[in-house]
Amino acid sequence: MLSQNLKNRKQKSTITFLLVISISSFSILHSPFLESAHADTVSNSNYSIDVDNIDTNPQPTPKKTVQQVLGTSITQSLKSDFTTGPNYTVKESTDSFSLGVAQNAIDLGVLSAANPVIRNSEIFLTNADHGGEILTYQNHPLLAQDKKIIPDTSCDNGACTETTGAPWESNLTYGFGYRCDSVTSQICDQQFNKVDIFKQFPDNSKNEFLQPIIMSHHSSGKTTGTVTYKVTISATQNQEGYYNSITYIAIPNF
Amino acid sequence: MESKKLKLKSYKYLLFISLFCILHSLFLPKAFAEGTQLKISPSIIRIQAQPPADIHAPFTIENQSDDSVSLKIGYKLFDRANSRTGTISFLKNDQSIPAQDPYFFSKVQVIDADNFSHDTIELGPKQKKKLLLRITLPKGQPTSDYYFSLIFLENITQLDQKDTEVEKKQQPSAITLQSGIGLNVLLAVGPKEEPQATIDAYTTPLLRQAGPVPFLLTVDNVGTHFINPHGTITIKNIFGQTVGRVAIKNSVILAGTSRTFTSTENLDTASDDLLLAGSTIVWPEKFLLGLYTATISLSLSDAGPLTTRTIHFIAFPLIFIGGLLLFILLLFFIYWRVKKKITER
Repeated sequence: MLSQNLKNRKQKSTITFLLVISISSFSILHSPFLESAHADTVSNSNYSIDVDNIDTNPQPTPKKTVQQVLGTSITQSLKSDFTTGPNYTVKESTDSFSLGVAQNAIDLGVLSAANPVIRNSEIFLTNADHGGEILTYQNHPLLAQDKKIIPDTSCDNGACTETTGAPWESNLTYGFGYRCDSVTSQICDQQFNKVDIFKQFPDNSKNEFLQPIIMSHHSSGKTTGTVTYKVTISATQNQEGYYNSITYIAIPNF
Repeated sequence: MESKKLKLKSYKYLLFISLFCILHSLFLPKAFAEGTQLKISPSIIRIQAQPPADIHAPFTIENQSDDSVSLKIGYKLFDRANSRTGTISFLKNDQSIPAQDPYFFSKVQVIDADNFSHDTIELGPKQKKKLLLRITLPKGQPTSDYYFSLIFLENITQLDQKDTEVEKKQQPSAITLQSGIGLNVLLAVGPKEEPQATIDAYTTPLLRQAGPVPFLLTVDNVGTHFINPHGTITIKNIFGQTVGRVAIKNSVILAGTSRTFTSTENLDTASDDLLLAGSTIVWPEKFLLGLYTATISLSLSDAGPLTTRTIHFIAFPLIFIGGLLLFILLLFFIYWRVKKKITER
């Protein structure tokens, strides 16, 4: 009798345990597939209402054409000498395009002579129908407050520029440069297929023109690249803080 | 007995917690710390206008990151010759506007629904803004095309720099990363005209052993406005049966430029050699035999005109046929040897 009781209790506890596991697993597995809900704000000049998860228009609404948009009060309120609507047509693609830069700043730390500093940062592109590219440039070379600069690297053989890559392995080659490694598909310049190939960032202060760092020629969803920044200074370089900004502009193809 | 139960219970909790942690970590999205994510829609706006016109073209910009972002608005013109492949190259600062109106951008602005013009916009975390590109073309605006990117560039704050010598030596160096995103605007100003374009090149190797079959197609736009042709290549065998169709991607050709076309599908099946050779319209069929006819029908716009051209190619699977002949010969030889042996007995 006692053993039967024990057996029953054991069975009960096992069932409870299994139930807890299955419920928690269900909730965990279910949560990633839930649609995210965004709070809505309704406002005009006199009021503002913040509401959570409101569905203000549950019915499907027909897509407005350009003519319909122009026919609304927005256009009617325009005080313009020009006629609108009949004199032009606007055709928009149905796609979208996005860019992501993983960080807003790269901390290079305190620089010391012949001690290369290497930092990585991810950038990604979610392609439009025809693909897209990310163009890049720097505002000026790494610059200290006293206007001293860390020049752009010329690589080990002195050959690298903003368009041509070259090997940079030696710690005795000084300067600042970058390389790009494709994470998802071949989106970085093929020159970077060889390890230790680096390039200079195009320098806006020298009127150098912005260059593509990532190129995707057809719509293939999200494509990611890792940018490696490398800085090495010489013993004669003043030890202080050097700064610049690198710009990434994503432009869709057409 | 009690301690055993307790132990069992604690094991269960431990198992449960570790299971929770493992499952949770598996489904966690990759987090980008402190970054910027911008999204723009649509990626291209095509406008055909006859002055006078007050153009309003809607678009949406979205800040997908968790921090607010301030964006300044700018315009940059395409370098037509270097952008003809569809990948954009901008005009250099010292290059003049290749259009009739050098003050064109004074007629362009970004406005909101309340008709306020903006040169910067602020976007809160996850905020999406619907804006309008407004272009006012007065009467007498000369006929010309304008191709430019409307660019939203993040306003960045400069990093603090220390003043004293001691502080300077310990000051870390840093790079600020600035993000920007653009959408392309193709504007044709002037009376609507019938698209004028010629097929510059439409080729494929005459003789081949097997598929896939690459086609090279280059179309030259000789009109005054950009065109947006589309079409198909229909492949027929020697009996006139249609054995394949390849869609040609709907791509814009800028005025006064030519463009080599790519296919909307089958790009993955094309070998690297074919892609590098520039022949990116590919019929993926692998087994081919006989004479084939490939006819291209290219519509220069939704309303035409239609241009067609036909080429031929011959496919002869030399290795397959050679192997088959060798096999037949072998069978014949075996048959002959067996027959000879039987007759000898």
